[in-house]
Amino acid sequence: MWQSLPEFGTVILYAILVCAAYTFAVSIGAGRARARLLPAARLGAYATSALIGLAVLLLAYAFVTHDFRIRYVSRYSDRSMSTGYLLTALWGGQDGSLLWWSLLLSFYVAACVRWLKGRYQQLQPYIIATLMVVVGFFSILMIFAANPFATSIAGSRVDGDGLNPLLQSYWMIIHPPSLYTGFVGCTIPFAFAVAALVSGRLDNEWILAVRKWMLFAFLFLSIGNVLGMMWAYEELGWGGFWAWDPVENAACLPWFGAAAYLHSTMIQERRNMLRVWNIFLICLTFFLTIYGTFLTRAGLITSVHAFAQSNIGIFFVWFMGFIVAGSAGLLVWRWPRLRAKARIESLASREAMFVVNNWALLGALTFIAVATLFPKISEWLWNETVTVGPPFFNRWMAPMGLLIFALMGLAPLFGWRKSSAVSLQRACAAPLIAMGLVGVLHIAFGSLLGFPPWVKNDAFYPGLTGLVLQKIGSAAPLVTIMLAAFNLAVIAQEFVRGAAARRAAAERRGESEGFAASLFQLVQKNRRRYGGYIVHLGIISMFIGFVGTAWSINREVSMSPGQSHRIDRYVLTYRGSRMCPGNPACSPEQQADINKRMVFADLDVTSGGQGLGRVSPAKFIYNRQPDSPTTEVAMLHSLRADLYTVVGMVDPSSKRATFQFHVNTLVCWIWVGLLILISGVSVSFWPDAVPGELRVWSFVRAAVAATAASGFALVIAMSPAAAMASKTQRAVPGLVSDISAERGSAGALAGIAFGGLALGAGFAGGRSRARGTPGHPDARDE
Amino acid sequence: MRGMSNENERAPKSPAEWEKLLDWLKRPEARPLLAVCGLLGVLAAALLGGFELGLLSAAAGVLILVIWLLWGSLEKLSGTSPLNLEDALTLAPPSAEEEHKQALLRALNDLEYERSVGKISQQDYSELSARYRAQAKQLIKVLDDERTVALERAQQLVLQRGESHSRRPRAKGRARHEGGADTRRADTSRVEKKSEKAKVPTRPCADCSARNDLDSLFCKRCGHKLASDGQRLCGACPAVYEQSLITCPQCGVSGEVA
Repeated sequence: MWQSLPEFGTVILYAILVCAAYTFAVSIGAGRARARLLPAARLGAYATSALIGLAVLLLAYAFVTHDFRIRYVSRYSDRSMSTGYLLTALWGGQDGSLLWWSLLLSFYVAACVRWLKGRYQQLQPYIIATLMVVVGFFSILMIFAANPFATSIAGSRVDGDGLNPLLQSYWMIIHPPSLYTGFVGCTIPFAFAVAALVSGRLDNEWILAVRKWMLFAFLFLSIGNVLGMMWAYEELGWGGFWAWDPVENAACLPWFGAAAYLHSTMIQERRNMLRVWNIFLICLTFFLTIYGTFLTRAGLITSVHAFAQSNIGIFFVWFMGFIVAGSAGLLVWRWPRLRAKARIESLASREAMFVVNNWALLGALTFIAVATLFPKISEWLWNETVTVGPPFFNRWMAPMGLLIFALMGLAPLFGWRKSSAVSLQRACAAPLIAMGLVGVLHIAFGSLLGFPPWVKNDAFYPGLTGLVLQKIGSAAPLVTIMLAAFNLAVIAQEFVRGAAARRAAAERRGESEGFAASLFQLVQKNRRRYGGYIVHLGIISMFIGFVGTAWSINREVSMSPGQSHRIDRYVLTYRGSRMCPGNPACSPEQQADINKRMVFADLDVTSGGQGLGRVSPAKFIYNRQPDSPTTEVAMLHSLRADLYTVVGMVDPSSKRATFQFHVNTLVCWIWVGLLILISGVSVSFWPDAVPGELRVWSFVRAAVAATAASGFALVIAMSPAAAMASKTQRAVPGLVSDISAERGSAGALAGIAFGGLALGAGFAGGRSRARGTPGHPDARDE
Repeated sequence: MRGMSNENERAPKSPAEWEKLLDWLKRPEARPLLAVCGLLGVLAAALLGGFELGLLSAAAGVLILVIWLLWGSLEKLSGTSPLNLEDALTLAPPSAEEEHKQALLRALNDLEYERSVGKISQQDYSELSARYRAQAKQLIKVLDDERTVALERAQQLVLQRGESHSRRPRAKGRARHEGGADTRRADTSRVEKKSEKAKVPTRPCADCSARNDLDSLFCKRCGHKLASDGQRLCGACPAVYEQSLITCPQCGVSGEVA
């Protein structure tokens, strides 16, 4: 059994299970008043994590050395793949992605056990035990249903099948790991909740600890979901970024759960209320991560993510049943001790607003969950499959989204316990004025600028419901812009009032403090609060991006070389098609590519008589999958709108081609929103000063944290640009200055959002590449 | 002679020396060094033998780590490994009262902020603030009492240990006795230092007379503010003086507690 790599890998999987079982047993022993065993349990947890790391290294080695005896390696790689994509294939298929999931979990386990040293002594054994149960589940899954080291029955092959062309993309490297990091991160809060319920240590302090872990998971859930949007936008070629696909929906469900928890936990901290609700939310969020994985893997509902389906669903069903039964049992057992003595004293209080916000988030979550499962539900109930598509989701989610958006702005205006009418009036005045003013301006000038306040909307249903939804859909652009103004004013007011309060306090002490210094100190002293407001700023930006779809224009045209077509402010002239490799106009990289044939359709883009560049949408025909050509989108990006072009079919003889043109308004603001959100969470994460720490060290630590957060944000900021760079071919000579000016504005905006020139420069740099500035390899190719 | 001394230097280490080295490697300070050595080894393997060899060496390193961790875990489980100070300290978690006190102090901080930005009325602020302060006072008193009991118990244990040391028979050897005497001398000097520390000036609370450090703004026992409005706390002596004065009238120092 030890002679070869596949067998050794399988032994390691068994070892993970044995080690997790051992650690679980020792942890339980430590929890039952034998605290001396705790160091043994901690070392056991580290060893389990290291074993998972070992299994991943072995599988990576198998990929890099093309060990096609292993079935997984032969299915998801071939000899032509670069080392980067060979490593990406680690999570390209199901067996490997489960191992990858375990690896991320092992990182969390090791980090959590390290962090727990000297903290939460009574909870610690049960936290480790719960984590080991989850590790055990995944190791059982790998051993009995999806062994990544299983060998092919037919023996070793000369070459493998290769990775699905759709997955051979830049996004494959960053999207799944980000989303998995968010998903797996929800395990730690769940482990804390179970530990609190089992040990009976139900005070509020553990909630405080869990908050940071949940915030981290929330950050990566946000990044993962937005990167998924970018991937869909870039790769799938249908012109949009969110198709309400079951797997997309499953990925966003934990986000809603985590967002609801991050708000309601504040009520428990301040008022010692909602303890049952918070534990319920933690368990629900963890359950939803497993449910999401189940939906991706089990193939229950037809999805674009069908490449990862298999028959391991039944394992997940049992595990989900175990989670529900275990969590519900523990909650019922501890119910009498969890019931809060305090009550919400006034509806005009922040806690009341948070409760309403929680219900809205949970309502959206339930709606998406039920609608996603509706084909199955209808099949069970009426023996007829009723599929709900994007229009259904869009109609219903618009009012729910707007409600959540409105509550997001309202809640910060209220104080804890109760707000007096006078203070509420004072707080609401400026945001309401800003909202009204923006509304009037939008109605007056919106249509002139190309952003009409009302859009045409067809009735989705007959009757009153249909009419109401139609009206809401029609007014959604105006309402969203007004609410965005309201939210912005609320956040600005919070910062200004906070800084003014600090300055007043400084004056009372006889000191003077500048406004900028007050603002900086304010954020530094209340990082959680103001980091949260920055996150809200990111959400506002995303909402602006979402509402832009209402003004988007979609066309499908057929053109011969030399013909032009006008869409919005762009004029596109079709110059002809070329096949690479073979055509002299192809770049050296394209000429050297032997894995696929590429058919490009070149379009010159002008606006107002000035050339903006050339876009070349394409079809790639991979040698291994000649029957499934992939669509390669070409775009021109700007803060106002993206010109999105897709080529459908090209006649080789006449060169006549069919195109899809989309002008996607304001879509860029979704990606900007993500960057702002990352910076907000980073501010919230900024470590607190440790008593007794040297001042210089506190600065060093803060600098390291800031650099790490900024670096990460920079990577995220530049990632899409790098991926987009290959699409736009060149800038027309003589127009570089125009493009640079626009690029500068994009960079400046990102810079403001981050409060750092480095990030602004990074984003601007990314944009410059996307546009094909002279000096860039793509520009030289032309 | 020089050759001989070199030979002596190159002589294999004795088992005791090896044991000493292994003990040192087990210490927390050695971990970063071991990690850096491991990473450098993997990097060297990758540079010399390619990425594949790098992966394989990393796997080998992780396997050694697993064995080491499991061995350590089994040692702790069987009780053959002594409980070190670091582990022993983790066995004493912060009490529920301590954690509750922290939560209350946080709530008071939030309350101050809410009032400063006008989100809470003065009446609500006074009511809530008084309630939280009363709860915090109670908890601080409970914690102080617990600490006093624990300190007394610790003193008793130290005394008992000192007595048992002094009762040790002289048969154990003069050297050891001298060592014991040295230890006692060190203990005495520590006690002297402590008594010196006890002479450090403190500021009594006007409300409950508890002795507070000079840099405290609030009483550690009752939470009472040590300086009322319009007063400054001297940072160098227990004096409390009017805000209009620049230097302390008692000691002449100009630094106040910030």
